[in-house]
Formats: sequence, structure tokens, C-alpha cells
Amino acid sequence: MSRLREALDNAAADAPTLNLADWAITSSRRRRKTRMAAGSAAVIGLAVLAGVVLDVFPGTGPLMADKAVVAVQTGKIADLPSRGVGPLSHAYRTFCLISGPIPPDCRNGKWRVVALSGETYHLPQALGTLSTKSGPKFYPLAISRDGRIIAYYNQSAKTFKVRDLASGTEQTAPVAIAEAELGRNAHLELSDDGRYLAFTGYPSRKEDGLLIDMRARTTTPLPVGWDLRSINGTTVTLARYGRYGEKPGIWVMPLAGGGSPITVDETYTRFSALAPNGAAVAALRRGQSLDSHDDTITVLDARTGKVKKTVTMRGLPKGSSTLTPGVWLSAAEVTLAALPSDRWNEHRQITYAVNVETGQVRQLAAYHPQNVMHLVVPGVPAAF
Amino acid sequence: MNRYDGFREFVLARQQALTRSAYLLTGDAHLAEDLLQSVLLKVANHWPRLVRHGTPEAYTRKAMINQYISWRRRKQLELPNTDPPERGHAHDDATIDRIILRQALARLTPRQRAVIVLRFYEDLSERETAEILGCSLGTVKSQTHHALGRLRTLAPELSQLFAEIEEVRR
Repeated sequence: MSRLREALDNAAADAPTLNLADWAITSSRRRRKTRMAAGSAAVIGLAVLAGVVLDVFPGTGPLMADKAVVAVQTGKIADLPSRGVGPLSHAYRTFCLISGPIPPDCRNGKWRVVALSGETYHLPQALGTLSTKSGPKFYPLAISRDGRIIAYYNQSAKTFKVRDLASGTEQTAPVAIAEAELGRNAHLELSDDGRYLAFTGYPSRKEDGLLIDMRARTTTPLPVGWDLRSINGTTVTLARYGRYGEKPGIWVMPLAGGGSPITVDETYTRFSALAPNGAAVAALRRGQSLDSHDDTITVLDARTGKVKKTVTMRGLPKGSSTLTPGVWLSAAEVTLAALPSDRWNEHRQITYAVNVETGQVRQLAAYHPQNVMHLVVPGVPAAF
Repeated sequence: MNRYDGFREFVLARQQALTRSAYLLTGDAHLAEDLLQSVLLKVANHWPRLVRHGTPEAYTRKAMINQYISWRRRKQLELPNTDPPERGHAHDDATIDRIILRQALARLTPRQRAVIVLRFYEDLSERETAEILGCSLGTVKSQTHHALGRLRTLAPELSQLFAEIEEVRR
């Protein structure tokens, strides 16, 4: 390699990490639809009818659905087919022994997944909940950002499995993890390509976390007391929120382990995934109470913790209760999970995109799980 | 059959390399993303035809260069206004070279910059570069000569990087 090539290669290494395949397909489809609609009044009529009936456009497969997604299936629900399942919009646990609306074909404490096309499936192979002497213990599920890969804990394999929904191929983690090793409410994250899987037990300070490379069949321990935010091809991003006596912080850790945590100002209590440039995270600032946030979003330097920019969010419905920022849709837009109210029994969760340059907020999708505490949305790390 | 069959796989396999080239062309992460978005949308729109002709790779590269040159004609894409740090303990030589090279690239004409990226980053031959730029072999040779000469003037600190290339060309 020539020295000029080497220097160009070095300069190119600052390029952002992007994932534009789904965006390009969705935009191209939308453009084709617009063109076809312009040419035919009949097509317009059908499109409107389909939109009203389904409230989704099946098969558009965006990273995050940009129409409201509602789990509409009623009656008997099938188990997940062995292959040929399209991208998921979300997953949630169901509970059948509580008051209030019980989902159709309820299985207590179990996971079910909802495809973007609206079909709902039971996931009997995934452990959802176990009753223990000290109360229920919840087992996590993760969905890749594009909704095509899931990871879950399998009780008979005594470890995690990663499944490609279209092909049905399944990989088993190379290490056994006893049920007891997972915390009461472990948090699981999956990289976009399904190669890396990680779990942590935050806020517990007893259970270790683990990063698993499903291809190389290796593992890297993750530190106790840190929560997962994201995994990419080179780093796993961890955070702690200052809610349990520790200082809030961010740790962008190389996949082989190491790196150094940084402490951030105590006013920041929720953090996003690592930005595409690998050098920033978005953060929410504490509001009037410990569990609330003000109406700003801040970009923090992930290497120093210093504030790069703070903007006031515009367009978030009044009364919304923000939960956490999530993955980045582009260098300027980050996802944000929020509840439409601060009612204790709120069962709707909305995903927004927030432009960190302008503060402008736009809605991406609305979810209606039985309980927002037991909902998994691709691209939005757990907020609880 | 889905009209986008194979598109996702193509993008997944190529997007990191394409992003890097876009970044070298624009010198800015946001603009690189904009450039790649606009190119991939074109590729998605024409995907069935590109697959039929077996030309997605060539089309993508050509679309990116054309789009970049067209943007540069209309607006100034970057404002490299940070001086590189002094050479010393805090920064290794590679870091300083990278900053200086980026600043120097920003001062080339769009075609000169495209030639540098295609010839010396993507390792394309002069003939392949000429095909992508839609010009003659002679034009590529002269653009390369002028681009290297200009880089040498703009960044004398990096002369050792270009000397090796000039020697090979002789």
C-alpha cells in the first residue's frame, strides 16, 4: 500500500457508520407510490382504503415504522413460523391474571411478536417470566434495528439464541448462562447484523453482564452497574443514570473490553445509543422530579462528557412523558421514546425522531402493548 | 419477485466503503451521508435494470462522483478552518498527516479531488477513472498530475507521500 493510500485510508476512517439500505428501499417505494398515485385516481382510492383499514403499509419495512402501528390481530394467534417472517415492529409480554383488558389468546408472562405487516405470533421458545420465591423474574428479548433478527433466552438451551426471522436460521450462544445468573430484569441488546449480543443486569450491582460474539464464539465480561445502550461493529456503549447513588456516566468500550468510563454532569439522566460518528450520545436532562425530564435534548461528547449542543424540543405533544433517546436515524436525528401522558396506567408508547440541530420532533410510530414496561421496540433501548 | 431483491445485500456489503469514499470527497460526515443517501435512492430506483445489466457497482460509483461534482458546482461544501496541531508529544504523525491531507484535499477542484480518491484510494486504473468521470485517458493523466502538484504545494509537509507516487508514475 502506498503511503498516500495509507494517509487517505486514515482520513477516511473518520467517516460515519451508516445503515441506509432500508431507508433507500422505503424512500424508493414511496416515490414509486407517489408517481403511480398521480397517474391513477383508482390507485389513490385503493391506497386510501388500504391505509384506513390497516393503518400500515405492509412490506415497506422501514427502520422505524413511520405510520402508527397497532396490534390489531384478534382471536387465535399462531406460534412463530419456522421461516418466512417479515420484519417486526415490536414485541411485548402478555399477562392474563390481572385486571384490565387481557390480550386475545393470552399466555401468561410470555413473549409475543408483532410484524410490521400486522401479524402477531406467540414465541413459545423464548422464556418470558419465571415465578420465584421472591417474585417474578423477567427474561429479556431483543430485536435488531431493522426488525429482522431477534435474540431471546431459551430455557432448554440454558442460554440465548439469535434467530433470523426470514430464513429461520438460529444460532445458540457459545456459553451457558443459568437462569439465576441473569438479573431480575436483565437488559439485552443485539447489533444490527446479529453478530454481537450483550446483556447487563442494571441497576443490580450483583449480576455481571456479558458481551457475546456469535460468530467468533467468544465472550467479553461487561462491568457490573452499567446499562447497555448500543453495540456496533467496534464498540459497546454503556451508561449509568445516577439514579441509584452512582454518578451518571458513559462508557464506550471496545468489543475486546477496556476503554475508560467518563462521568457526566448529574443533570443528565438518560442516554442514547452511540451516534454514527462514534463520538457523541444524546442525553435527556432531569426535570422537576427524578423520573421526569425537561423539554431539551443535549448532545454530549462521548469521550469527554462535555456538552456539544443543547436544543429545546419542538413539536412534542403537551403532557408527554419522555423515557429515553434511542438509536440514531442519521447524523442529525435520534429516536426518542415517550408516553403520551404521565398516568400510572398509560399503555401507549410513542417513538419520535428528534433533530438535535433544530429540536424539531416528528412522530415515527405508536405502540399499544398491554404494559409499556414489557414492550420491546427495535432501536429503542430499555428505559426502565 | 421483489423489485429490490439483492439491493439490501448490495448496500450492506458496500455501504461502509462507499461512505468512506463519500467522506473523502466531501470532507464532512453530514455531507457524506447526504451524498450517499441521494446516490442510494437513485440506485434503488433503477435497481432491476442495474441488476439486469450487471452494473450496480459501476453505476453507484459513477453516480456518487457525478453527484459530488454537481454539488460542488453549486455550493461550497466544507470550510476547513481548523489549523492542524503542532507536531509534538500529544499527536502522532499520522493524525497530523490526516488533518493536513483533509485540508489540502478541500482546496482541490472537484475533478482533481475525485481523481485522487478514485486513483489512490479506490485503486482504480486510469482507464477505469476515465470511464467514471466520462473523460479521456489523457485528461485523467493531466488531472492527476495537476492534483498531485497542487497537493505538494498546499501541503509541503506531506511531500514524502506524493514523491513515492511520482516515482512510480515516472
